[in-house]
Amino acid sequence: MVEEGSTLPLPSSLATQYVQELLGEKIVCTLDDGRTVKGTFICIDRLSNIILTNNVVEERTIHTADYSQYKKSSLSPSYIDRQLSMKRHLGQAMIPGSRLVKVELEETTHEQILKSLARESS
Amino acid sequence: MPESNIPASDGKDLPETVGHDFQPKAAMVDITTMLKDAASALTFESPMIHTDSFNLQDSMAALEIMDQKMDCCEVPASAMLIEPTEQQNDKDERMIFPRPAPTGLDDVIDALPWDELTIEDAAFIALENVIRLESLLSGSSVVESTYTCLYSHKVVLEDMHKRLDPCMSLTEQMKAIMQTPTQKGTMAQRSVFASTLLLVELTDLVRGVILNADIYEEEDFGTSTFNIASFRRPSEGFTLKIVLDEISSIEEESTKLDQYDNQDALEAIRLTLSFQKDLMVAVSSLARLSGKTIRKEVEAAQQSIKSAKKKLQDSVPIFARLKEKQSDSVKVILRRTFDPFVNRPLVGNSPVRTIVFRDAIDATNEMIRMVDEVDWCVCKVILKANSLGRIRRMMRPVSSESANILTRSLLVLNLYFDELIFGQYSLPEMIVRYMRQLSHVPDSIVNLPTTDAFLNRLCKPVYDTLKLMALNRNRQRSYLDIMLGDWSALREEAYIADMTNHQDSGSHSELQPHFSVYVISTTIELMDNYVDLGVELELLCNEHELTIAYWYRDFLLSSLLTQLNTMRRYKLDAKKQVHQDAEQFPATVSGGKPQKGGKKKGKNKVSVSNGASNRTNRDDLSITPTVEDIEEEVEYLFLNAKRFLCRGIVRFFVSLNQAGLIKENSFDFTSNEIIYQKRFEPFIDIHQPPYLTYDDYLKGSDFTKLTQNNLVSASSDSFGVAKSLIDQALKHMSKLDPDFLPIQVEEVKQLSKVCVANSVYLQRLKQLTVGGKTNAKLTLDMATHKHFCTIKLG
Repeated sequence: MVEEGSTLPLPSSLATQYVQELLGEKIVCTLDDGRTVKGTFICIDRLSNIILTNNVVEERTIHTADYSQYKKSSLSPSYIDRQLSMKRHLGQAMIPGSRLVKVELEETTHEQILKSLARESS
Repeated sequence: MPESNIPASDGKDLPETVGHDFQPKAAMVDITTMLKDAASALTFESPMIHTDSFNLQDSMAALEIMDQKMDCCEVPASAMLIEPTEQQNDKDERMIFPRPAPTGLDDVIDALPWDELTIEDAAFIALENVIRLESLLSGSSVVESTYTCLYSHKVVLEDMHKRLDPCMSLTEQMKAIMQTPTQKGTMAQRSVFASTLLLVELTDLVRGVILNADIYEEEDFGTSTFNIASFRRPSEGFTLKIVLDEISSIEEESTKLDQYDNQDALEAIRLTLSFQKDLMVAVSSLARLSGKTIRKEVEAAQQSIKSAKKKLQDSVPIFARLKEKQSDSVKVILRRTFDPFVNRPLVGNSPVRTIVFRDAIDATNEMIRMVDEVDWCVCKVILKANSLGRIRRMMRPVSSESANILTRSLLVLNLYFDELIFGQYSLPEMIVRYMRQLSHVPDSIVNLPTTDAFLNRLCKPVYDTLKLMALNRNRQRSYLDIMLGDWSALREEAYIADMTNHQDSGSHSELQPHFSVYVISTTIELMDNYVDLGVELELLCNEHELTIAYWYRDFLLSSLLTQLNTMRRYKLDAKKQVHQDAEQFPATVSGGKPQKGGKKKGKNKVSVSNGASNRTNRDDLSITPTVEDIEEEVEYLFLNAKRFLCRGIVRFFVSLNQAGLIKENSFDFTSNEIIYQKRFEPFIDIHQPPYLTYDDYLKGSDFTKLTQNNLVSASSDSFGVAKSLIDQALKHMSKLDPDFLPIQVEEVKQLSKVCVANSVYLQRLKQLTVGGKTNAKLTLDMATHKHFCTIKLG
């Protein structure tokens, strides 16, 4: 039984119910190379592959040094490798479970789901 | 669309809220464990948790992030190097995001070459721009071609314009009022600017033409721009002015330079800029023809096209010399200036396409070919094709040689405008003249109101038969499917028009159904084209299907020739009558002057209320054949030759079947009859000629009563007749303008080869059957002629 105001972790028996309630909500996935992918959650499978839809935004950091290979020989010691944030918009994306590190949800949405689970269990 | 770079500080920290879709600084909860627990609880019976609306299409459409094949923004890090290394083939190689689009000449990622540009660099950049243009015209989208040149991006062009515009500051503007403004920037910089401007201008122009014509298919041209912004020219004629100024500047510089100092590079730039400029002028002009000066404009465009072609041809040896001494620094400049991956973030979920550009020589030769096509496919057709027959003959090669989409689009745009064919000829008049070319349509019929109404009704279907030839070969077949229905319905209306005309004209002679015959003959031509295309596109490809195709074509061509013979008979009878009258009553016929053969205009003009013809009947009925008569005669001979070729091939296949060299097809889920019905489904609703069923085919191809020898002889005779008809036609062809030939000389040779080769292999079959051998290797060769196979026996 889920009590209102309870914090994670929940019993794994309730995990499936939680994830079912999570369908249609916006989540943020972090992958092992540091990039984040945000979108509406619509599917997960046994291997934790996740499908997001509805204006999926992928964001990652790039290093300017990666694009200046041909200038390396002329690079002075004071060359600064800048980091820039790049975004990409996709219609629908699949996050490979093997590369998934973290999944986050807005706290308010999380609490709503917990309340909903609590009501159902009572 | 990807958002532009958000520069961080020079360290590694990024702003916290960069790119967040949620409330700024929204508190987040880590639910990873929850999800993984739920996932691990799933079973094979219930493998997914998903929304109710989730389906297979959703899962297939989702882009697999980080997958090297599916995700277009996974680029090997080594692709950024000057020279490829072994690492490029290593599947564990580090993958990075594509280089972001430049934000200006002083781009934060890597400043674009500008101050250090040399004339040699500018020449090679101009050449690479031509390669991109060729890639665009060959079907790549703008992000895969034009905008792989980093200079062509809007912000970079704006930056270049700002730096090179001599009148940007107030001081400079004041100076310009007082005296001629001096040029800013180096020649190399201005050349790069001009060449890139032309590339962008041509890209927009070509896209506009192709979209307006609306005959493209996905394989012809990628229309999506993926929202990439195009440089906005500050005024009309801006690009042309910049380019002309630069060309004069280069010409002036060339006279000053020592003979061996950068002369080649300057000349290469001049020729490339001139080529692009001429092409731009020609295409702009052809895309906007209108009014009474059409012929002059087309002639001017034709001159521009010929000039463009010449300049590109002249540039080839110069670039070859430059390439031999190309320095490493040029290669570095080109790698920094052209990036095939830069636009990948724009394509979203679209499949990854590896962009491959032809090498410089191949791209240039291909470009020369495309430019030449604009001349013979568009300019010559508009200037020379002055009758419906000639338009059809000149457009046929456009269709069969699969001209470039730009050429075909220009042709379609100009096919009918200002309510005239090519803006010059009334289509109803053209139809009447064409009918009179083939047959005898008396003035008493032409003048009737029902004729007027029916001719107007015919205009759209006839226009469609012309437009059909501008579509790509695959699309023609599906378009024909629709057209056959329209022409089939026209037959009834044609018959009613003929009956009404016969009654209204008060003629007591036998009904001559001119319109019906014309409509039926056109319908049969379309049907024959449909089957022909099926063979060319390999929809009908094995022995059994080809037998059916040629058998049906034999029937269709025979029906067509019957209709043409009817029309020729009407014309011959009318000619005889006119000349008998002329001999008996010369005064009344000619107004006192003896008639001579050939065309005459003036006093003998028949004024018709509908304006359908301004030529007299007698002009069509001259005893001396006109040039167009010879053109039609040659076309008639080739139709006949093709009929005999089809007949010969059918008998050849039947002989092979009888000799046991072709195995019967057997199917588990279908049958030969069902396949036949599917292949000829569009013909079912056509009443004339009647649809032939599979049983008709079986009866028509049943030669069991003939011996093998007789069958082989019959086949051989058919090929012999076809060959002699081709030879006869060749003799007439030498008298004709090559542009009006119904069939190109090259194709005539191919047809002859097919006749001869098949005759030879027939003899081989005879030897095999005499020897009792039944295991010879059979090959169907379509390489000699794409519509008629050579049946090779090994």
